[in-house]
Amino acid sequence: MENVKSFTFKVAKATESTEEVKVREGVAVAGCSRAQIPGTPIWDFRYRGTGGNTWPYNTDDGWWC
Amino acid sequence: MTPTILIITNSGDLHADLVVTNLTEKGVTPFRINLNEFPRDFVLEYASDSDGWSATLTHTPSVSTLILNTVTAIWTRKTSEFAFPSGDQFSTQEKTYAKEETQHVLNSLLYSLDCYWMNHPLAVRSALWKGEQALRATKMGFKTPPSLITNRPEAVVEFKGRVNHDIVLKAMSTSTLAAEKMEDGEQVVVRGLSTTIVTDDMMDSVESVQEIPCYFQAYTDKQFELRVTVIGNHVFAAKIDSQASEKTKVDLRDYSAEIDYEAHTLPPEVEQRCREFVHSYNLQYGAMDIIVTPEGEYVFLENNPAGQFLFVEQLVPEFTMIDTLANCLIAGTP
Repeated sequence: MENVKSFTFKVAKATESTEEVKVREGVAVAGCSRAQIPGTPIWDFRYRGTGGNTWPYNTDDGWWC
Repeated sequence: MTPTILIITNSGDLHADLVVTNLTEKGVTPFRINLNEFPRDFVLEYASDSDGWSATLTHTPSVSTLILNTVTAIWTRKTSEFAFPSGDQFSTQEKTYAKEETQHVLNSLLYSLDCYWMNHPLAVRSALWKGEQALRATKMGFKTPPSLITNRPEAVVEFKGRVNHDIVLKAMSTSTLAAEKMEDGEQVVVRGLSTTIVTDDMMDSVESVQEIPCYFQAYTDKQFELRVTVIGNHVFAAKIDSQASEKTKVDLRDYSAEIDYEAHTLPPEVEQRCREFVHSYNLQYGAMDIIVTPEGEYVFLENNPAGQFLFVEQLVPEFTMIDTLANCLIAGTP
């Protein structure tokens, strides 16, 4: 498997889908969602991470500080 | 006493927007710190001596000021990167120091407050660790899936043989596999790792377990799943029909699937166990993931001390979680 050494990344690469996934109508960005956010203003917040990457920020993951 | 409520989050937090609206309708205007605007849009003064301390925080765009030692309740919702007036021009070292110093300043300020916390960051930090969660859940009477954390490939083979069932691989720290911390184009995996059944093909690569410890669980057959949200003493159990769609059978976190969510009545002893589990960490909020097996057993998966709840209230409107949370903050009690 190109570029990855660890089992976790090998499994993730083997199962990663490139299909665009949108959260269902009327549902906020939810726990750990990897879905894309519909592009209306209320849903359109994307966290801009330290590396300049965009990502839905408000997930179940992580701690407050 | 008039409640003074502090909400700490980021500017893109819809949960906080709706709780702020609810509080305002009740006549209580909270003070909100959006950390992605902090300290850039705030003026802070914190002074202490042997007689005590005082601190004010002014949000400069709205010219509203918070006297910190009047705060009666804090809701720590979500974090964010900080913003600095000249942050774009900082050297890498300045930027690194700026983040660490600002976090230290913020913690010094907030940890001085003796008030109602939902949740205290130290409680959140102590509650995050999934391996410990499973042990605690077992001690408190929950069933938990047989699990293995290891970097020994042979242990995975032995575990798979021992459970005599499918096993799944999970990420413990972040399901995004840190993609959000990469520069654009640096990600080798963009969408992270769902809970994934480990196939025989994947087992061909099991030697690579030695690179990073991995978290495996015996796959638990499901009748349905529950998202149990504990807010203070209140428990909201949402039944999620995850088995109705191929997209959500193994990992329900595909929110494109039109599966049913509905209110579920927990057995009283399970409801009390959920409440006690969250409170055992001194948390006032927790979002728990639980499987109900075809035999009707309740199997604990994990608790998210900073988990989302709005998607549940949207799909189960009778769950008045926003209102309940606002009332806890106003009362300063569970």
